[in-house]
Amino acid sequence: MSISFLILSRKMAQRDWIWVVGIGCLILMMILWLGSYQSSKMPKTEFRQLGAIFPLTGSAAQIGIWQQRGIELAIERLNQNLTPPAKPFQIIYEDSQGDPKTGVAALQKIISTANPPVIFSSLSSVSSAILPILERHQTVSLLLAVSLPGITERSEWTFRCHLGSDNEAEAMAAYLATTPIRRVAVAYINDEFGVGAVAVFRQVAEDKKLVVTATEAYNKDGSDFRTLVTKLRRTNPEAIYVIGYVNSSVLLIKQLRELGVKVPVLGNLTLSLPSFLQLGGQALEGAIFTVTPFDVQQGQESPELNSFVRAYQDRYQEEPNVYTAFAYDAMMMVAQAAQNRGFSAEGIREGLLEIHDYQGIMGELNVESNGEIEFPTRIVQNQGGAIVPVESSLLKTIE
Amino acid sequence: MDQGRMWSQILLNALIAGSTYSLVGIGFSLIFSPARFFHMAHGGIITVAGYLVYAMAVLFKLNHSLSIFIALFLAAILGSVMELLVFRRLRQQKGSGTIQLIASLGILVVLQNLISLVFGDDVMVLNPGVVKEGLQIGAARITDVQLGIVLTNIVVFLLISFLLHRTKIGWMIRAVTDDAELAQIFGISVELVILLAFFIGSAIAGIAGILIAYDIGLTPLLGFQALFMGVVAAISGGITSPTGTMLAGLLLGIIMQISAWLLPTQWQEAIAFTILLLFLLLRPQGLLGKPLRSKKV
Amino acid sequence: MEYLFHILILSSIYTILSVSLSLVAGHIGILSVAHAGFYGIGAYTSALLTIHLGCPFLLGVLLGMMITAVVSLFISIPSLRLHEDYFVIATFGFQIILFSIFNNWIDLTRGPLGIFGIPQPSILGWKIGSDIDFLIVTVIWTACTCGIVYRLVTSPYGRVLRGIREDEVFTQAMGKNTLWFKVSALALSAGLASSAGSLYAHYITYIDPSSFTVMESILIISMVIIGGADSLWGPIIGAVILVTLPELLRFIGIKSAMAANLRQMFYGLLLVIMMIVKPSGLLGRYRFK
Repeated sequence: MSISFLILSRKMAQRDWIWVVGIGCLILMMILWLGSYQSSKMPKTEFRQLGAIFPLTGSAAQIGIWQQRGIELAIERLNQNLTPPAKPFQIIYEDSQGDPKTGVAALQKIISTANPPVIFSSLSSVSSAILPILERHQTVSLLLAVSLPGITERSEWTFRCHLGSDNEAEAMAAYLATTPIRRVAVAYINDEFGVGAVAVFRQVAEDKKLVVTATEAYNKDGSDFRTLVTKLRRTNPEAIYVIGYVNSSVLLIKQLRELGVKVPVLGNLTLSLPSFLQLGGQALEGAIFTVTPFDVQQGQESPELNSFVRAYQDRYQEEPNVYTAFAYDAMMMVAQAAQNRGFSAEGIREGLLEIHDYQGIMGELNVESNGEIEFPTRIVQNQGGAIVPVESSLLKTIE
Repeated sequence: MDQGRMWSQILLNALIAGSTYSLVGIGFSLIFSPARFFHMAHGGIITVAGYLVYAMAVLFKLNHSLSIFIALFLAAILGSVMELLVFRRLRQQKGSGTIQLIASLGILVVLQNLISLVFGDDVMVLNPGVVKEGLQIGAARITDVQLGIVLTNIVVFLLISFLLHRTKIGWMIRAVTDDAELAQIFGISVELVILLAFFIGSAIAGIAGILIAYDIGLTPLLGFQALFMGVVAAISGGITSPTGTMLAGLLLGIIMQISAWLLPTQWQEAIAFTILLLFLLLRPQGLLGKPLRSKKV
Repeated sequence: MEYLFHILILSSIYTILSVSLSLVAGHIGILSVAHAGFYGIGAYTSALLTIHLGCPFLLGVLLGMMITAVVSLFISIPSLRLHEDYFVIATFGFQIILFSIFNNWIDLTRGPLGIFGIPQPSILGWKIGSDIDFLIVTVIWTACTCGIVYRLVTSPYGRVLRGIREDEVFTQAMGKNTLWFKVSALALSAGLASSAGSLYAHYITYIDPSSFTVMESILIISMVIIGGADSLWGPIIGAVILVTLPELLRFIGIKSAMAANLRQMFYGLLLVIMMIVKPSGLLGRYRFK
């Protein structure tokens, strides 16, 4: 038992100050360092600089790395085919860690070192946090892997190069309307991706005279979905639409099969990536997905796509996927806009809005007036680990 | 589907979920009893054990039962090493429960990130691609791994009860649980008893981790999530009582599955912790616990 | 320059959080894992009030603080009667419940979609638009917070708190209602944390539940523990270090997927080593009893 609490901590004050001064010095050094860093960066005008804020570390890092590769490949191609007066492109990458406030720090750093006219940004929450700053700076933002519905409406400087989860839901509902299936149950991931998609799906399904028997949310890091599955099963659906893009989505589908549910499973683009098909194994056999026309196996008809796939395989020794493809097309479109209207924020914004029938590796692309880039979708099926089109007569294109 | 079939399935789901809570809780409470602090790194051991089996059985193609055996042994060793390197030292420095809890949390963070560094954040499965439709029991379905979880829980519970009440080791553990100083006076080596508790408790954590891994797959967060349901079970059961922990675990399973049935499923976690808060408010000593002693003066 | 302002603003906001936590952690010796939740309540309350009711900034902050203080009673009254370790677990549970509410009560909080377009604040007609303005406001508010906490802990009230920390029974015997002191200190601490949330919401202008997770709580706790829970400067220094360190790494340029794991492992290891070598933190003297 002690009564030392009667003594106030003031005695420590002197030693405290030593620490405070020490750490103050450290911070001062950091500021000086930052200053010198900035000034060293300033005179670099031999490049056309662009910024990119991707999750390069943390749980979403894989997506960021795929996107970075897409942009790198695009730049390599663009810089090789440069006509003399134009300067080569250069990208400044900053890590957002998938966290909004770190994303803002990344943006502030890019703006104060290079102030580029275009920023590529990944993930909904980070992009939502940086959009207001970009609008204040009148800087174009190109959103990749952002599924938040209606995000481009917030600023005229915002463009999105991604197949939104709401578009996928719409395409899936339209596809179902062409099949004999009438009763669908939905399990959706409990984040902006799923919440946005399920609302659209319910609405479109209703218009198409489909019955949505149940909608249940599941958590991104959850693992026990047995009761959720029991709830879905009880409504006697003829198909189950699992909206999601993470491992738990596949776990859910596995538990569906374990509990003896035999109806067809429908899923999103991401779930058709090879790693998920491998994880799901038999559980994903026969599953139906919405995808973009980007397809490595079927790339023969497009020389653009062929050379992209070859370049990617040479460099990274693996098959490219759709995240890389979105980033690649986005960068190519920015380059075209800059070529037509000049390398400035205003020029690129106007240039992007003028893009119609652009022949990208994702197909024929159009930029809508609200900044959305529309992607054609198609419906595919997993057969023994291979993705094949669902009978070509049912191949759908959604406006 | 008829009402009866649905309810039998939900109760079976509850039994499976409750068994995992109870398994984790029993190990946790075995360590808490003599060591008197909330051992958060218990969750790390759960994860590590699962990944060890993955590394041996899937990557190095060892026999599954051999890998499980080795992984359990390593998990127990890992727990003991933590005790020897960190917690024993903290106790000798008269570190309080809170200090040990923070250190334990630090170890959990280190283990979790080590796993994700080595194996990545993706889900790994111990039997890739294979999906077995569950066995039919009455109107409900259960897979063989899940049946294993339920049975293992019962076996572990019986073994621990036997250990605590019928053996000398158990007698010493209970003596230290009741009053460490008094036990010391009677010639019981408190340090040894705590080490033993860490060894056995960590082995149980390993069992839980491996079973969960076989059932649903591995992620670096597996232990963290499993741990907290185990802690809720242990606290609401009366933290030093394995019987209470098991009953509370099963009860928790039932409440959570039924609430998942009645309410949107995403509220499950919130409901579990509301139950915990209610217990702390109304019956802080838990289902079968002795009334909490007031703070040491 | 704005980059620097941003880091300073974030450091200030985290200083408010760590100093508010140090009031209970350092002076009563109870560790709250729910501070990220309190921080979130403040952010959501003032964001929703300003957006839907056009409530002025300062009033929003104040209401947020009051609501958070009331919410803290739900956790403090049941669990503060128990041993400190139980309080840690109870606040942990409370944090999960609060996060679940932010994430799942979609009609109110828009859930994972987040709330965007939170207006930038104006105080008595002064529109706080630029980062430098905002820096001034946060620094002033941080100074006020530190001042309030410092005044409290050096007052007779603070002495009672430390009395509870050292020997609760003895303090009770002196005729103090220790439960009231603990509950009121936690309410105050929660209220201050909530004001940090309001500042954050109006600064970033976008909030979603991912900013108010358990990991955020653990980050705040690390700040307090590394700095020293019962000193005035300790939590401030802890906050500044843990906010600027990752930004410094940005310049060193470790950019593999490993960096995040390594950073977290470093934090974890730091906690363990700190507990063994100097459980009272860099500047503190109190080691959790």
